[in-house]
Amino acid sequence: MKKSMVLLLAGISMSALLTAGCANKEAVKKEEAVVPPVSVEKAVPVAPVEQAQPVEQTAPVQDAVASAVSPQEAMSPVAENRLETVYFDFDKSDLRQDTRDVLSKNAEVILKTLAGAKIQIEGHTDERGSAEYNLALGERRAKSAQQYLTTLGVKAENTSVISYGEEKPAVAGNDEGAWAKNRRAEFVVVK
Amino acid sequence: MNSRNLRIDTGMSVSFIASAVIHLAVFLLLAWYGRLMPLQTPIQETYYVDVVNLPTANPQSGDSAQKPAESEAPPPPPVLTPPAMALPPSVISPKAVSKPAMVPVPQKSEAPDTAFAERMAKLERSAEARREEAVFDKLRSKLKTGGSSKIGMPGAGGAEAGSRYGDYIKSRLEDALKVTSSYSTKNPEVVVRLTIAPDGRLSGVKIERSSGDATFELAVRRAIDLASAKFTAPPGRTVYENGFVFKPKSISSGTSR
Amino acid sequence: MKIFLVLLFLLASSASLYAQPGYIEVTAPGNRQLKMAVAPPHSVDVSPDSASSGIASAVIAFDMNLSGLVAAEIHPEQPAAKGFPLVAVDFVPWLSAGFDMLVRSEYSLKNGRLTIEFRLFDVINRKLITAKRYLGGAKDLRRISHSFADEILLALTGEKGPFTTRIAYVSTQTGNKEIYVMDWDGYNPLPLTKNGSINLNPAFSPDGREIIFTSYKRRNPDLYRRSLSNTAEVAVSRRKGLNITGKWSPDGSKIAVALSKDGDTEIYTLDKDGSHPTRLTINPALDLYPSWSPDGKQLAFVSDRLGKPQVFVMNADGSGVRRLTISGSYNVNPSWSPKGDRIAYSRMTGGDFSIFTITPDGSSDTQLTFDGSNENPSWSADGRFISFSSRRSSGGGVYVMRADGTGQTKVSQGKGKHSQPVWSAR
Repeated sequence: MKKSMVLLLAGISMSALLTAGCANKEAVKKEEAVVPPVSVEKAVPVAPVEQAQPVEQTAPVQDAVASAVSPQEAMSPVAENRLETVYFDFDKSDLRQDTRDVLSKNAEVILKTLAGAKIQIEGHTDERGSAEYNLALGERRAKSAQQYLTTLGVKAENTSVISYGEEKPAVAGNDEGAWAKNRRAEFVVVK
Repeated sequence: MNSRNLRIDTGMSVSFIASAVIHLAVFLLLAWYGRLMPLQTPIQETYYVDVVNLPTANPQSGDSAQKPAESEAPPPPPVLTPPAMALPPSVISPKAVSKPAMVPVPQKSEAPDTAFAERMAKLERSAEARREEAVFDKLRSKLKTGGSSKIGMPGAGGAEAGSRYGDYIKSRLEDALKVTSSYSTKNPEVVVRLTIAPDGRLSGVKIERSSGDATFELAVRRAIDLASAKFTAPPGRTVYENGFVFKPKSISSGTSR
Repeated sequence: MKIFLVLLFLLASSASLYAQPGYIEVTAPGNRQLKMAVAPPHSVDVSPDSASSGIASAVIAFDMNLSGLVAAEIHPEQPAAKGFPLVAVDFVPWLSAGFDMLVRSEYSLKNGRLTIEFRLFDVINRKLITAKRYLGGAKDLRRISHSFADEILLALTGEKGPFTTRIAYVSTQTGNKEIYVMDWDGYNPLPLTKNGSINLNPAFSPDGREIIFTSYKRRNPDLYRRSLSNTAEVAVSRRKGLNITGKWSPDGSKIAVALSKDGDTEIYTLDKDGSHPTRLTINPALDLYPSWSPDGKQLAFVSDRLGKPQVFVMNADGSGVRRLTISGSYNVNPSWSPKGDRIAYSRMTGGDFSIFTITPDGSSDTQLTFDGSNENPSWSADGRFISFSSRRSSGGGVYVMRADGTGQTKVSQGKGKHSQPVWSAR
């Protein structure tokens, strides 16, 4: 009984989607609601085929969100390249001298060429230590970088932080060389 | 549902706007339906239609057929108590068939078929059973590492009868524990209060304390089970009750596995 | 003074379990592993499906072996059963083969409907210990067999096994960290999330029907709640910053979680819909990874308020904070046992983690793993087992062991790295 209902409904939805594009509009609208406003323009080109599915399950909606995120990441390097990544010592979030120097340069770039831009500071750790503790540690690193930028005149409301902990290493490998490159804060222009 | 289907078809031919409205309705309906009964369920709640708790042999009633008066004679072959229940049809002689066991049972319906159980018991008392018992006893005594089974048999009575009977029970329990002993912690200890009815039947088993070694607890319970088959009646036909502290003899035997 | 000590010593040594007079001591030598024979189920069908027969006995033997209570062995009927007398068991050959216990069963599989009946016998006592009949679908066979293994432990020890429970974990099978759920023995792994983002720290609701987890699917580590039986998924906490290491309270009414909305990472409790945050920890250090005591009155958690991460315990209202782990310089992942008697955690030494357990008063700190790097301990519902994730030369993944560290067995299957296992309640 339930099965036949499901089939019937699936059939109706298929015919509804095939006969006219109206249902698509609904799906698109629904999606835009969950996509962060930043990436709306880029999110539109997502293949309409995928949009036909959200009625059936929630996963494709999430997929669409995830794929909507990537164009945003793709567009950032242009600006991002001018903002250098800074590095940290093991289990530390305080700023080394070289880290401060790089942050000063970054602050200059931001104040000169990126006034009003929204910058997200991503905190990362190496793979050692517990994944959960590293999330907190990564956030601490991003926040010390954020605070330093603020003291150099970058408006606090233009920066935000996110921690990825050990989830997004810059380089693979499990030696000090790799770890040192992964204990970092990156700067991503999000708008 | 069917009428809606029809409306979709006609709506298409009538006007685009009507179509849009209907599709919106269908979409909302689907969204609503999907919320109530999602089409994709990654994990099904597993269920059993029915679970029947089958009757098991009562550990204490097992040897009621044994005559309590026997004391000095070698133990008679203990009667194997058949679990009171229906049998698969393939096994039993036609007259013994009560109910086919594998017919899907709607719920707990089969009461213990006692008549059948008695028949089974009779079958078990056959010569075949006696032969098995002889083999069984031989094997069982092989497992024992030593010690005469005659130690501490109760005397005829008198003032010391209680303690003598206690020694006798202790001896039976130790013989049984030799067979079942198993433990997984260093110094396990289980304290059990046993009650033995005037006819020699074990009428009460209460674990008073345990060091928490599940393996040794099991060994003790099995030893009591095993020994109680051979308990004789307490002297003076009174109820005997005492506490017993079970411990492995650990000096010589290794504890780790 | 010396005399007093001697007296005290004598008192202590004599304060055995049977201090009362009249108790009779029963001792016997010998300690052997109990042996259990698991006979493959016998089919009563005309054309039996031998595959299912193998599954049932394999499941029961695996469960019983990991229990450590008996050594189970799949052993064909001896002599080969003729007509299979399920009740009239000939115990002699089993006894001479050295078995203590025997599991027999017979089943019928018709049109996908499975009927299976299990019986557990004590070979030495020649008794039926327990018996159950199950009706279900053919696909339920593993679960049914686990269920009878639960019953065997109940009959032998007085407490049910955890063999029908599940383990949620994080798998990189698809290339991304997604939440999966599997049977406790690693079978039937199923993806719970498929959002292509990073998903972390699953935790079961006490009724086992829902999971909370942290996901980056909306570009921030937010806490979500997800049903196991359908795709319903709602955000519990999308507060600014971290929303991580969520744990359901034992009564299911609250969720303890680490949030960084007020600056640094602190522990809060939320109503289960995510509302009414109550801050429990107030200090400039990182506080995270809460774990409820089974009575819901206390929480173990990780804090680096003394410099390095250590495990602390506090009352559920945030009062009475005390340090639990005093040895080791990096202790994380506390997990309170369902019996309340021990707290498992992982300690990092030289870059690798080991699982330890400790009593809630800080005594009897015991290392359980010595091979590779082992993290995220989580107890089975009966407290008999601990699951954890391991990286070791013999193969990484989700492992299961007894609470004393013995019987370490890899259970997770399939591609990718498997981590952060968490065991469901019953």
